[in-house]
Amino acid sequence: MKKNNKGFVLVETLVVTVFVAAVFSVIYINFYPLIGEYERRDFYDDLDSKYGAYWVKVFLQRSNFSFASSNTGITSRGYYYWDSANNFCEEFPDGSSDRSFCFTMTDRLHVKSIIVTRYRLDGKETATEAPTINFKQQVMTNTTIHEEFQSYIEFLPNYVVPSLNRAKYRVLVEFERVADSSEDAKTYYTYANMEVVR
Amino acid sequence: MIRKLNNKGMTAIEILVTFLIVAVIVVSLYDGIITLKEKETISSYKLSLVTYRDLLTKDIQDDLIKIGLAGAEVSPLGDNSGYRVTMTLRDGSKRILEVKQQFGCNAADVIEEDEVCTKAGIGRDTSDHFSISYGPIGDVVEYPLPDLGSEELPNLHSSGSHTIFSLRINEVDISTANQVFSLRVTLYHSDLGSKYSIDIVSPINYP
Repeated sequence: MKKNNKGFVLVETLVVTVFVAAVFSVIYINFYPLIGEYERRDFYDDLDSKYGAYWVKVFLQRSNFSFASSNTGITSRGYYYWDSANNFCEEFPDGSSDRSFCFTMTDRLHVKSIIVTRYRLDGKETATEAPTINFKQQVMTNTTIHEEFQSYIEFLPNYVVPSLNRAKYRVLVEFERVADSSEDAKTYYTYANMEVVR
Repeated sequence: MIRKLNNKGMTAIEILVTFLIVAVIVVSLYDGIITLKEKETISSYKLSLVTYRDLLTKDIQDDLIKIGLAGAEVSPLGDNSGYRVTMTLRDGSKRILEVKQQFGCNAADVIEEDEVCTKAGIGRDTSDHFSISYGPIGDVVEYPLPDLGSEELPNLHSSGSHTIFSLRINEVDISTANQVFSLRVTLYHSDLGSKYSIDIVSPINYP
């Protein structure tokens, strides 16, 4: 039997090389945005934001914090939202020390906006209950909520494991910070969430 | 049985084309590998800085949240090299927080030294010295900044050299206004900017 000693011809080699290069390019193009997404998550639930969210939670749990509008919002559309146009600290009675602490603290902590919702983010109160309102979908349709805040909410799990503290609510906080170096003075946002016992 | 050996080699054209293809691949990968190497270095810097910041923040916040802050007094350190904060906690105990911020002279020649160092009151041929210390009175622990690279500059007025660190405490901002204590220590690194700074806020005597 005659042995086949023919190798690849140049055209075959080139076609394979181009094909492999094209495959690598497609992989790279799809993989690269993931690196950006990963870097953005550096500022999701970082330590400073967690401590900031802790103080917002403390204010929400105070007995003189008016929770009526929050309750209405949660029942009707799954959440309640505060920002500069609708200040969170105004839920405290006029002239109270809580109100003045709240204004100074939220200012120094660079709080930009706050959302309060149910403990679970899938619209259920218990695992067996049918979902009422899809919180994540509701948030995506609200254009007043910052796009990056929406991405953070989309990234969060549904928190299906019940709270050890029997918390019924969850607070999500957006912080607006400035990298104050003269060469790189730009605003960036960080996010954190905490359970709320009320 | 006599088998005929394949003695055919590669032609010069085949070898040249192979070399060309290999050369094109190596050149195109080189930039990518260098970029990845830089990213790896920056990411290890980031990890060290974040670990440092988180450890220090947690130690301070543990006291402020678990015990509570009753008062804070801010005073300058000797020879204006930074600040000392004496914090009184709600159980009556005290904590000391010291931030040392001494800039070294980052000048390559005497003309630059006059412009950069002398005008800013920075001593000739001095090294950077940055540190943060925290703890109860009598047991204050120094938290030296992580080493994220440094430059040895030759002294301009004597033999030897002085050190300028890549990670610097650029700014210290402390406030106790409106019964709220806030501390921001801006940690600046040329590759990381100042996003990984220390930011502590706590109400004073919050009922």
